[in-house]
Amino acid sequence: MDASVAEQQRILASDWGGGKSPFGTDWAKFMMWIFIISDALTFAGFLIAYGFMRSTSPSWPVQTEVFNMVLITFMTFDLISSSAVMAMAVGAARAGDAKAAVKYLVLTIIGGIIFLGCQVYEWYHFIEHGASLTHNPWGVPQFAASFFVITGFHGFHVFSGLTILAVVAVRASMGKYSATSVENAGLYWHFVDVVWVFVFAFFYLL
Amino acid sequence: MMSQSTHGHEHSTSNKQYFTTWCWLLVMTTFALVIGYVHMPEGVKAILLVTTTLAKILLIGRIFMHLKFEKMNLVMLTFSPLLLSVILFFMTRGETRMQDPTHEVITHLGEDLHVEAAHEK
Repeated sequence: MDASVAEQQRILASDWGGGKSPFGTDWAKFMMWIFIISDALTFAGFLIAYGFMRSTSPSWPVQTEVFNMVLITFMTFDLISSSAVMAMAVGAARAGDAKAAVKYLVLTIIGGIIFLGCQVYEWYHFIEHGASLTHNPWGVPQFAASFFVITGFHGFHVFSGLTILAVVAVRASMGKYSATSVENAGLYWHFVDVVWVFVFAFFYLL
Repeated sequence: MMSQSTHGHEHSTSNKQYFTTWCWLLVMTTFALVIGYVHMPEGVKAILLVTTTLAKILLIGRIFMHLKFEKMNLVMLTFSPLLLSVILFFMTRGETRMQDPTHEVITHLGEDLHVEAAHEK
């Protein structure tokens, strides 16, 4: 009997025995990582489908001529900067500095709002040129649809991230938060940045 | 009700390191932009852009998302979407212009079959 209890304890103490996390994180953070990985699979599917459509198409518009690259570059700088500030918010929350954490969270939210504003402006001009999900004036099948689906899906993620950050910031200003909640919101925000890095390179530049 | 996370707080990254990472990300973004504008063979451009993008996401993952403090089990999990992308890329590559530059997208095949079917009648 003692031997079986000892054996059970030995298994539980092992990395994969169920007694401790083999990933060394708490439950909430691990679930956020699982969500990010599954979401990344979705974006991977989008970008690979885009690459396939593009490489089977006889021609493709020159993106640096079609898009306002000054605006796109500004959006990229803005999102990278907000990601850096978000990392500082996590650092402040971990250090127990609630005031600094709220300040950095608000700055991150401002960065996200500016990004969304630029995206609305970009969409407005694209639609004004006659582009829609089913038609585009450049005559290349799927060009406008790829643009709307990929940037739209990413933009929705930015919007969701802003909502999460706003909730965390309000709770932090009331003193009702944990460093883990700020960290998890931060992980999501950095993921949104990572996706944009891919979109910037493969959709706008390649 | 401020509480510390259960893990990894013996490690921390300073704001200075975040700032340095931010600077590197901006430099690499500028480099990617230059690649986008300079005329060069498509293959070379693709390799340079993929390399720059991977370097950027490695920096964001390691420093901003603190993966350098996480266990290797978790780090390996995060590579799965990238692995899937590579598999999908090579699976779909066969029927693209990269493999066969003379490849044409035939859009009238359906009509031809329709005509042949009409003749047979």
